[in-house]
Amino acid sequence: MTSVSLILLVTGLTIPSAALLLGALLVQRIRGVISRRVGAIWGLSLGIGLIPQLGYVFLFRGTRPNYASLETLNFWADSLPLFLFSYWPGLSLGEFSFHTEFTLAPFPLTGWLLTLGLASLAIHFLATGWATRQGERAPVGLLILLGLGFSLIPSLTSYASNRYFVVAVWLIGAAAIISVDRVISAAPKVWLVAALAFIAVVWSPAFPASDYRSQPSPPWSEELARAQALCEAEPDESVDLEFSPNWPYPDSSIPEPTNATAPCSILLR
Amino acid sequence: MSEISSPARSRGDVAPLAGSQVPVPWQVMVVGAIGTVTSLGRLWLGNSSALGENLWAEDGLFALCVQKAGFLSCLVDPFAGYWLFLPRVLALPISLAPVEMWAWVANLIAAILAGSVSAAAFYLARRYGLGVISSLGIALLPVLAPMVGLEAINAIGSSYMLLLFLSTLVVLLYSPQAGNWSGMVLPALLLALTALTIPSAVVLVGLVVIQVLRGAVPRRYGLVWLAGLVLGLVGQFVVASTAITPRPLNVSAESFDVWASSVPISLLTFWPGLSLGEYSFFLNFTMAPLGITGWLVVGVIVALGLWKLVAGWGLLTSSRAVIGQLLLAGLAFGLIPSVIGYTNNRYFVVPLLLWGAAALIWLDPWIRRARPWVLAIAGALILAVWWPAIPASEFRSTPAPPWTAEVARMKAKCLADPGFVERPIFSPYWPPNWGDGLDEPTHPNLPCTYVLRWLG
Repeated sequence: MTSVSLILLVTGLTIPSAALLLGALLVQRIRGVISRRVGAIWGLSLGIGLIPQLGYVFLFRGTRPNYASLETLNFWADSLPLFLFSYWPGLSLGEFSFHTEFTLAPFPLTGWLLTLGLASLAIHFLATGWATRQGERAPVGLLILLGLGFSLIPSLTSYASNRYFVVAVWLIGAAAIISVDRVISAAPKVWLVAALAFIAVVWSPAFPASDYRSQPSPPWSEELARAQALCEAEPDESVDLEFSPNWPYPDSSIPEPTNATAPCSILLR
Repeated sequence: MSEISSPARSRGDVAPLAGSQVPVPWQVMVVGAIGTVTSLGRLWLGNSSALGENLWAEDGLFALCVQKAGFLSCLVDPFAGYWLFLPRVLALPISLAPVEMWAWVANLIAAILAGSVSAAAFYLARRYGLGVISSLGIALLPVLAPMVGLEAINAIGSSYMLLLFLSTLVVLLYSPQAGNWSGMVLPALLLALTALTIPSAVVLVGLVVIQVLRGAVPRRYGLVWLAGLVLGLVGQFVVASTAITPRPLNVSAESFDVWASSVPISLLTFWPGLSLGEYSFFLNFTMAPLGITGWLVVGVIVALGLWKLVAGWGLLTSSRAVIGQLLLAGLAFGLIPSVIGYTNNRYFVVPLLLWGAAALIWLDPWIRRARPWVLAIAGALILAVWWPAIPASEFRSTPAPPWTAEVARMKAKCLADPGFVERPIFSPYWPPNWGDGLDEPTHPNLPCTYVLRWLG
């Protein structure tokens, strides 16, 4: 109970969208899966984490622009299938040329169809598994809904980024695994080995981290040497440090103290 | 759907004894009408002038051949290195129509043919014991599958695909009852017609043998069916061997690789827009599939097909062996034309139809149990996802050139210069190089004496 409370507290302090977990806690409490006492402690931990988090969001809301619009909502829905398909690297949805003469395009509302389909499935699982404490249906439903929610919040306020869908892909993947758990448990070992080998082979091109993520740009030791040379030449100046991937970008404006400008007096130490 | 009898099923993939359900004729006819209208409708949705103006490649050239050289000479003239018997036969009624009407006649014949195959497929599926929805799905696959709309839809030149699909269903789903002579002769005739129309019908020999060995088809019936097939293949071989320009054979490791990598891409056309390949993901990222994904998918289909076939070998009331054979036959029908040359979207139409049929047979027990609203939602979702691919492709549907304009052009040219030899162009601006690679009599060379006859 304590460790979960701590995790919830840290999560609340780390990311505002942890607020969604309050809803999940409430559902689990109403279903009777967690006791009133446990629910209260976990909810309180999360709330304590969220209060400074939300306070910060409202006090400094000017620092993070809010682009929420119908367009960002559509962008989120359109992006969801792309991320779910990333489970099979190379699989994508969009207009593509087939045998040169032909173009096949997806249904324009595919993203919304998939999103609504997933949401309906989740609600169906949650409703049908509501009263069964030990069943997997309600957790599967909750996982899908949380996945959708965790991707929706950041995508809606800014434009979708691959990072906003990582948790969604994890949770929906976990929901899929839980829902086929009985099949997995009953399957002969040889089938499981074959399935795992198949997945490993299909995923192998995406095992190495992307160039974008893994390329030192610039290499940190070179960057330090550059900063050192600059500071030794002009010890009273400041240096704009650059981290991978050539970050902060030239157009980004990060206020003090968390920016990449370091006075040489500190660097030379 | 009224049936003579409908024994209950005991388990998921167990079908009732074949021959236990016979749909009444009007239901079969309704399905045939839906198939006909869908085939025409997809072409019309692609281009509203297509029905009267799009005279497709061989559909026009074969009719022209009949006008120039007569029906029998053209009937036995190999084309593309083999015998396309059925399109040759159907060229006759087209050639008898007024030349400006050829596109209409060809498109109507193609639609009726597609509808007839849908009707027959529905009959076979229902008679095998499948539910109405699954049977309807199998029946309409040849006119509804997204892949069909690329090039094959409503083209007599692609009728071999319909024949291969129907023949496979006959061999796998039709189990004749003793003393039923039509059950012996009609399938044999269909198999002969298929073999006369496309060499890859040789795959059907394997299916008939398996069905006989399994005891799903009585030996005597199987032998008659095999005789039909072999006679057709012999005819095919004899005519193909007279080809002035034989079909080039370029079997290589590369052609195998191209075939294998085309299998998953073709399968993905069941979800239009879904593709497999290197693609840029949010600008910064590139995701590429494994180089051997095609072979992996082929391996899975082979393993699944063999497993189903072996597991259901002795179980005549089970659909397992049928599903296994559909999976394997699909691979073979795509493999044969692909490895001797290079892949083309047309080579994967029959595999997709057979794999689609296998999926519907496999899902039939669930489909039968599903509530109507669930089926309605699933049907609506499939239709929505397929909708962008329902109109025939631009390549298939755009009259290029419009046939009546082409006829008018030829007439004007021949009136001005009666000694000229014209070369009509059919959609899609075909044949390439004005037909320089083709041999007489199936060649677009058309002396103006023929064109002037059209003027009366």
